[in-house]
Amino acid sequence: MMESNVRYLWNWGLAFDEARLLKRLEDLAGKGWILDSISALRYRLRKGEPQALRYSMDYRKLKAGDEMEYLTVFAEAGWERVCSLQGIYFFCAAQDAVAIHTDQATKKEKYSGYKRGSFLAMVISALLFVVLFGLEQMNAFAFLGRSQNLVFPFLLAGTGAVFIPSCMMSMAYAKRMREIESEER
Amino acid sequence: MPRGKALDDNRLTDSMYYILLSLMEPLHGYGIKQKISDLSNGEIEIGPASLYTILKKLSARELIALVEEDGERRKTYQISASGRDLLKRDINRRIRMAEMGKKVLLGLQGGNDDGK
Repeated sequence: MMESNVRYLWNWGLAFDEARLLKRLEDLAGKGWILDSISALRYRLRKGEPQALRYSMDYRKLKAGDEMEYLTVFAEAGWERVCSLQGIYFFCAAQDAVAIHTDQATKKEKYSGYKRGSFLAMVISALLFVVLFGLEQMNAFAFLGRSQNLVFPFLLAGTGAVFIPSCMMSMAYAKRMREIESEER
Repeated sequence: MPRGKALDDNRLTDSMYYILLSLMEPLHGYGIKQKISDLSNGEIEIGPASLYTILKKLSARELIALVEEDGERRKTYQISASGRDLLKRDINRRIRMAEMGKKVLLGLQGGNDDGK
């Protein structure tokens, strides 16, 4: 059964649609749909008063005990934490608030960790793919008997399932960082 | 992870420069933002994500130090001795830059009768 005061937006991956998503959240807040929480798959919005809000997202890996300070710095600048999930923080503020990143260097740094991570995942999964394929050619899976026909494609599909998204993410983050570089401050 | 290309060459980015200037006295996050706003007559604004990133980076380089902790919520920072040295060097670098520009500006104004 659908609750009428709750709606969801699919999470298509922040690497690809951060700006579009934030804009959509702002439009929806204007119609009274306010971001409530985030999960790996979707964003949950609840019905409330229409508000003119500005949303921002920050990637931040914090050491234990540092979160309070981090959130206080934001709150004092008028940015309230809306929700967060594993190093992804959503903030909202009044429309006249100062942008969360006012510095090109720190804005670029926001993406550098994820860019490195996704690039690494891409390289490792590609190597794994090659190694698996090589082993198959050398008949190294023969000991599995007939079940190798099942195991081998499964392993290959697994590495592909990591390779393709990590490759796309890595390119998306690299593109984002190039865009920031060319932005005039 | 403190990875700042500018800092590696002992140069401060503009935001780092403003933050170090403000930390001649002990301040916490919001105080820094206010001080920079006051010093620049409201011209310079530092967003919270930039501020937090830079504070962590300057701390890691020991250019600023934590002076007191008001629980976990608020941390107060102040410039360190090595921070002062670097800041002095950077102020001088910026003065030289501005003086170079000034010479050219005077030339531009001299060549232009409508210049002030």
